[in-house]
Order: sequence, then C-alpha cells, then structure tokens
Amino acid sequence: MTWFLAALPLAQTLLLGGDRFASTPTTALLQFLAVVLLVLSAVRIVQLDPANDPAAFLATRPLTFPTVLLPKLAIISFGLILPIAALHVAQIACLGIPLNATDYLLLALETLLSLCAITFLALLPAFFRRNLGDYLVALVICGVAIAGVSVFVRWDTPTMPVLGWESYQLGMSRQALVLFLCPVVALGVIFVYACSRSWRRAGALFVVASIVIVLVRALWPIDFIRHFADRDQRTPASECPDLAQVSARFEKPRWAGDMIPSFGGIGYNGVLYYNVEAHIKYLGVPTPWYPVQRSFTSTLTLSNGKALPCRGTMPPSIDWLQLILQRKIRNMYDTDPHSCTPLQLDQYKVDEVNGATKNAAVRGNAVVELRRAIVIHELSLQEGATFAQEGRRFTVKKVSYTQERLQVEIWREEVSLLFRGGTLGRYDSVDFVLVNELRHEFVDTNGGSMGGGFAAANYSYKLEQRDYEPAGRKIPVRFTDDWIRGARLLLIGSESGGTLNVPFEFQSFDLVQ
Amino acid sequence: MKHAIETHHLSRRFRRCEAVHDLDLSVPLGTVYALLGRNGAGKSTTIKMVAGLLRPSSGSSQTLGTDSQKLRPEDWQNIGYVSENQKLYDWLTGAELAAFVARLYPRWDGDFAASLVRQLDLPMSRKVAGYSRGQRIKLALLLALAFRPRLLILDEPFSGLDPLVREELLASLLEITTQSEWSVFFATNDIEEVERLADTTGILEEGRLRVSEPLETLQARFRNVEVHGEADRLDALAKSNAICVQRENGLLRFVYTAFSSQTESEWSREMGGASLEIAPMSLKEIFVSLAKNHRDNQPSA
Repeated sequence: MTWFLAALPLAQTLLLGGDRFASTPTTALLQFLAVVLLVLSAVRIVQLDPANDPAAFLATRPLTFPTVLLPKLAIISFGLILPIAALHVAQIACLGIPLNATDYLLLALETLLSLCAITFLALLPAFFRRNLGDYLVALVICGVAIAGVSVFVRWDTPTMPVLGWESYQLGMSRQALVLFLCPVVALGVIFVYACSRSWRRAGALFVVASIVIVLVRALWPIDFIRHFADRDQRTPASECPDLAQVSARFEKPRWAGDMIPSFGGIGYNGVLYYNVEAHIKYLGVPTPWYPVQRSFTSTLTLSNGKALPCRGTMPPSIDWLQLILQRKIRNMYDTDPHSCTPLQLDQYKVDEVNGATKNAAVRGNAVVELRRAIVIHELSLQEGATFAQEGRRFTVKKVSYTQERLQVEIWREEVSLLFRGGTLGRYDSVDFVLVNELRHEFVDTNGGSMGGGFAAANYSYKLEQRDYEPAGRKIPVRFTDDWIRGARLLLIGSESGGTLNVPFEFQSFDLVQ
Repeated sequence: MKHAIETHHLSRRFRRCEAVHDLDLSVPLGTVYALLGRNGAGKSTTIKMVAGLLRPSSGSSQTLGTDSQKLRPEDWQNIGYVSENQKLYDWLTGAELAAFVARLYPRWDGDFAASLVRQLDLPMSRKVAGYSRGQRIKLALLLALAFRPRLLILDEPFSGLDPLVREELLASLLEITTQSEWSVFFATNDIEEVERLADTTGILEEGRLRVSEPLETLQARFRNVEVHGEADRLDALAKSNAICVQRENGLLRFVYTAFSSQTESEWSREMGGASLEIAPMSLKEIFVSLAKNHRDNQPSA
C-alpha cells in the first residue's frame, strides 16, 4: 500500500507527460499519505515481536538484541525508505526537467535523509512502547516536546532581520544540517538501546545529542550554503570588467538638508526599522555591466552619542536594460541606464533611536557587485513553446493581445534541493523581456507577475502572468499579428563580474518617520 | 554448578507496589520446581527476572550459573521458555515456525520434534492463526523443548485452558520431563499441576516466599491436628509451630508445621487420656492453611 501510494505520483507524471506540470495538490497529498503509511508500516515492523517485550517470540531465543533489531531496520531502510525515495527520484526524473548527475545524487541523498529523519524520529517512541496506543501517546509527547523546543529556539525563523538575504541561506543551511543530524541521532539512540538494552542510556544520548544539535544549529556558519552550494554564475576572468576603472560618486543633492533618511515603514516581527537610503552614481562601468549592492556594514551615530551598528545582504538582481541597448534595440522607455543606484541601509530599529532623530551620521562600507545580464534562451511567442535547462522549465501557456496590451502566461517549473540552497540552475533568478528585433522594439513587464502555483517535495510550479502594456511610453508599441510573429521572449539571467568596496560617510541628517 | 536457578534477596518494585520481596530460592539441577501462588503473588515477575526479561530493583539471580540479566545467546541455547501470553507468528504454519526456530538452535533434535508433534497432536500444516489456545501452548512447548534445553521455564502455561487440553498437556509434559534430566521452573496457581509435576515447590504470598522445599518433606511436616478435651494445652503441644488455631467447646484444631516421626509419640505421652487426631494434609490443604494464616496475621485495615 505504501509503495502503491508512493508510485501514484510517478504514474501521474508519466500519464501527464513530461511537458506538463506534474505536481498538484493531489500529488502532494499522495506523497504525504505515502510518508504517513511509511511511518505506520515502520512502527508496525518495529512493534512486531518487539525486542524488549517479555512476551515477544524472539526475546527468549539465542539471538542478540541487535540481531533482532537490525533486520527490522534493514527492512524499513531497504524495503520502505529506499523504494519510496527511488520512486520520488524517478518521478522528478520523469518530469523532463534536466538535472545533472550531481543533482540527482543530492536529490536522492536529500530524499533519503528526509525520509530517514521523519521515519526514525517517529520510530523512536515505538522502540520503547509495545502497542500502538502507547506509541501514539509517546508520539504526541515527542511532538509536544519538539514543538516546545522549536518555539524555544525559534526553529527556522530568521530572528535576526539584520542578516537580510543571509538569513534565508542560513535557514536553508540549518534545515540541511537538521536533516543530516536527525537520522544520525535517531539511529544512534536506537543503536545504543540495542546494545545496552538500557533506555536510560539511550535517553541520555538523545538528550545530549539534542542539546548538541541545538548548539551546533545556533552556531552554524552563515556561509555554509553559500560556500557549499553557490550556483551564482561567474563571468570568465578574461571578460570581467576592470574594477579599478570604476568609481562611485554620491549624489549630493539627494543628501542635502534633512530629507535623506526615511522611515522603513514595514516592520519585521512587530519591530519597526529606519530605512536609510542614499543614491550613488557609478562611473566607469562598461556596457553591459551594472552595479548592484550585495551587502553592507554600517554604523549609525546618533546625536546622543549612541552608535548603532548593522549589516545586511541582498540577493543579486537583474537589470537587463543595458543588454537590450547593446542589441541595438531602441530604448522605448523613459529610463536612464546610467541613473543613480540606491544604497540601502534599512535595519535600524526605531526603538533604538529613542527620539534622537536630529543630527545623525552614518558611516560604513558597501560591497557592490558588477553584474551583467545574460540571455539564457529565446522563446518564440507561441503557446506551447518551451525551454528547459538545469532544474528549470519555462512553457508559454497562453498568449493574448490587443493593439495596446499583450498578456503572456508562462509556467515556471523548478526543481529545488535543500543541499543546493534552493532552486537549481546557474542563475539565481530568471526574468522575461519581450523583444521584436526586426522592429528594434522591446517591452518589459508591466505590473510584475501574478498567478497561482504550488510547491511540494523538491518540485514547484508557478503560473506567471505577464502584462505588457507599453502605451504611454516614449515610443508606444502597437501589438499586431506581425509584431507577435517576429517577437521573442528572452529568458534573462545575470552573472557576476566581481565586487568592489564602496566606503561611505554622511554627516548631519535627520531621521524622518 | 549445583543449581539451575538461584536468587539472592531478589526484589522488584513497581512504583509503590512491591511485587517481589527479598526472594531467596534455588532450583537444584535436574528437579522440577513449581512456584505456587495466587494471582498477583509475584510469580510472573519472578519468572521474568529469572529469565532476564525484567530488571530487579535489588538483589540478583543466576540462571544456569550466569547472571540472569546478562544471559547471552549461548545461554539461551540451554533455556526453553514458554509463557501463557507468548506471541507466535500467526502468518506462519506450525511447520514453518518450527523450521524457522530450528535454525536458531544447533542442537535442535528433528526426531524429537517429530515425536513431540505426534505426542501433542499438533496440526503443523495449518497456520498458527487458526490454532486454538491449547494448540498454541502445545506449539510453544514444542518450540521450547525440541532443542533439549537444560532448563525449562514455564510461566503459567496451562492457565485458562479447558480441563481436557490441560490434562493432555500435563500428561505430555510429565512424560517428557521424566524421560530427561531436565530442570524445570514453572509458575502456576494450580495445585494439581504442582502435585503431578513438581519435586519441589515454593509458595509465594504477596511477593514473599513462604515455603520452598521438596513436596515430600513439605507434606511430611504438615499435619492437621485435633485435640479433644485438652484445648488449653496448645503451648505444650505445638510451641510456635501451630498455625490456623481454632478452639471451640473443648476442641482444639490447628495445623502443625513441624511434624516428624517422634512428634506423635511425644504428644501421646504428654496428653495422657486426651483424644488426639493427627491427619496428613494434601498440598491444597497446606496451601490454603498457609494462605489463611497469612490473611489472619495481616494487620486489619
């Protein structure tokens, strides 16, 4: 039954074919039920002739405790967990989204560890309880204990907003860590109990290991995933811009008087923050490169002498405008590609300022990355056009237009791995630009993307609805059949060409709410 | 090693309830020892501690010369264990289960197993799920006997069986145990089982061992005594060895626990013309009198 449930998502994928989104809430429900059945089956196997039950058949036979226990663990591991993991990997493989061999290995490992973590943690009470009723009571107690610990250590909740983008990476990294450690600890506890037949020793190991996990998790290095699974595309050194030629100039008019810093507006976990913002003009940045702020460290000094340090990181962003201009396509928008870039320092707590809003100063250093947009692929603007590459697939689902407005629906399917820090592929994010090179015209999205989606078990899909409505632009585009036929949907990513440090210091300004 | 089982100050406490208290018993090799007691007397707890299935709160026990809590697989090669609620694999046939168990014991005696099957009249081709309770016990006995253990531990194996099946099983077990020089340690609340099977019996009352000795000596030293006309002379007669004492209308009744061949002549001399009736007691009468004496001596609630 467990295998059957686990095989249904694969069957569903095969029936739907690889060119359609294959994960639905039904698939997720089937996968969830398969895991529930897996756990119940495993509990049944462990409780079948429980080795610590005096009424058990094998307890009074010439067998060691591990000899009785290990076959059960082997049956659970190789008879339940391994086939279910294999079915899941097969389902992902049948989606038709290309993954490289390493990703398949990581996917298999992650799936196995996830199932092991769930199963062996859920199984622990079964080793000490002889019937299903006792087990369920023990499971509820364990669940309450885990929930209590989770609340206590704020499991997977980024409690440090100053970390910004890093907090996401830290969360991923911690999940990967917990995923690895939990089955190890659970198996260790089972092993100790198997060898010593002492639940006190096993319990002591569980407590000590739990404390170690909490400590390791708390002290886990932020950069783990970034170093372990950094997939940001690097430009070959020969193509990188000369960073020595790049300089930054702060736009004085923006910093004159008391108008610069503003209140961040949106709080985090009920805490409000000041959003300090400056504008920088970068000089010497060659086409098609553009600067993007990735991190900063700064100290806000208040008039009362109080110094508030903070730091933050941001994800890379895509600015494809220079790429389009490089392709000799007219700039149809009222946009200056060399305009100022905002420098954002947005993590100062309002209550820390405590009314000392006048005559503040800020000093620090920003790490700015030069990036360039890359055309990953060009899709014809036809329904059904599709492109798949390294963990992603894009499919044009629907194209509808009038002369003034074009609407495109795109399915974005992605395979994600915790061990790779999220979605796969060489580019952190992918954007869309619509061009008609014959007409030297392009349109960007108006109003961003919207639409439904779903994510479960390493796979996600999202319907992105892009509205292109260029009316009112510098050179309005008219969508006609000819325009559509000559149009291409560019899938654009970005890559890094190196980073430079931009020190900054601003004196005498007022924080304004 | 003179004893198959030896316990020293063995005690087990379940929270506030002391199931077994300071138990000292020994089962000589080659004897059948019956642990007799009412429900809740602590028999199963004792058996489980002796078999290493339950840790004692204090004290120790040795089974075939090894600490019961440290019995190794090679020790279990010599120990057969059957309990009333022992689980069997329902989805196997009797033959499959026997074949499975046979592989665990190098000394498994196929011929002996086959003779046991015949003797116990077991339907080996049928799945265990279809076995009656009596057949399950028989199968458990077969699986505990066919490797010819040196010690057989039985935890109330016949309880709840209908009289016919119980009779069959008792007869079979008696035949088997008399054939071989096996030590048997079994718990029961059925006195008839003890009388038929046991060489030695221990009577357990509320976790305390009241009596532990061979049946012959036990029955030899217990007597029902009735004295007519000299009811005041109990002290002179029984000293401290009288229990269940009753006096009514000049009649003295008691159970004497230290009877010997000289006792009767000594009493006759001392009592002169008084009428003295001394009757041997069955094990059941001994058990009941001990239980009654224990109850009477309990502090009232």
